[in-house]
Amino acid sequence: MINIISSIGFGALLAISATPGLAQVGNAGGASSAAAQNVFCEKNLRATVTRVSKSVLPSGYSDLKDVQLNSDFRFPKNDLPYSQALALNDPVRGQSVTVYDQNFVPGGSKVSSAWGRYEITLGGYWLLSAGGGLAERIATFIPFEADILWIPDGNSFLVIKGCNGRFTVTSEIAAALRNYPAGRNGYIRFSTEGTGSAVLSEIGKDTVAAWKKVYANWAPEAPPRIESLGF
Amino acid sequence: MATAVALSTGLTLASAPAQSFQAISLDDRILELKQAGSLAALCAQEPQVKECRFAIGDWNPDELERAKLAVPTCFDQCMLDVFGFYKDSETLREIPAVRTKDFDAAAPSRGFEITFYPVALRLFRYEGCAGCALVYQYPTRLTAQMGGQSFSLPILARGGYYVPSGLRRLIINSPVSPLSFRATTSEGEFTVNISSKAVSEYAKMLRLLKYDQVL
Repeated sequence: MINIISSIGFGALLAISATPGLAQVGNAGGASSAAAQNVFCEKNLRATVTRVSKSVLPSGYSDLKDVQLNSDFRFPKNDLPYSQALALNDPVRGQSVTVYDQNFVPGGSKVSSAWGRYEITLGGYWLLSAGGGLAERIATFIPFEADILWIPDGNSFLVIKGCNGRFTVTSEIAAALRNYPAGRNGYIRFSTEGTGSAVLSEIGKDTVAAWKKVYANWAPEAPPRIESLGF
Repeated sequence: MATAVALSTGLTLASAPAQSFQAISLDDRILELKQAGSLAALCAQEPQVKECRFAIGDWNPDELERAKLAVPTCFDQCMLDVFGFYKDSETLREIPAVRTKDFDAAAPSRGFEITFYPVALRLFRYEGCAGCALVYQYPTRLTAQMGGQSFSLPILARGGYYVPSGLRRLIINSPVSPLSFRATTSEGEFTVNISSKAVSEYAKMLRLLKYDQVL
């Protein structure tokens, strides 16, 4: 049972991978902090429809693995590498570039994050255990989704409000992550829905290095189509 | 004086046609091709490029329509190792192409897919498994080997490479010679073998679209 919950929780997080968000129109470089409202966070009952162009990747990501996200929810197995920038091709939302990270206690709580060009997702589960010794040990997994994220940025830090574990990436956030000192682990703080605590979590140094690729300074442009160049 | 004028006029007349027929190889206009975004757009800008002058493309639509009568037209994509015009489902353009694959029959879920267009090709490595995401990899360097000659292919786009005129010439002249590529990816170096059927179909495409007259 525990394994099933763990698998579902992990699969769900990857399923909300950081491909361009519905709320994000344009790219990180073009979105201002004020304008970048995440429509997922609107707390009202109005029915809305938002049309968003599929995103494309410019040249410069030829060296990345290009993952075709064609495994749906029936196949929770996901063997995508962590701490490595990946080009993702989402059949619904288009192309993006993302790095996955995880921080966990072996056999225990886990923080999973996906750092996408257009969207960050942050969630995981806490493992609470009771009993032990002569009594039966009872383990409870409590899934969580972050709603506030703190990111250090030089002599200051950014406080980013999101919801349901999703955060829209603005140009300011992209610059902070791009300029994060490389070569060592990074740190973030986050608070989860319904709690006031701010958990400190480490980000692996390879993920920090990959931020430089993911959040490289480029404006979206349609790359040339090879069939047009060739004919 | 009259003789001098006549001589001068004669020189002018003689040099004018020579100037207008001064053809440039597309090999020297790769950057411009990339900037133009399509071969048709480049040919509109620079009609003196040999490929634009002699070969068939969107720039001479009547001849192109006649060429289409000789081969199948398919929606989305044509069958493997067959030259045909496929109708792009997005733009509805009919694009000549030969699509082929190179994979180990023992592990067909991983291999290479190659699509030849008249002056470019797309090549990528694919790797999948039951239930996991299909992963493509684009070579960061691609070298073609044919008839003892080696050609380094310039990168035009992610997974897209220019086919130099020297390689096209070789394919047209010896369509049964083995063609292979050495593809360097972040996972290592691979040899990609192109089937003789695909090579001969590519040669057929080049000849039908009159790329043999470019050489």
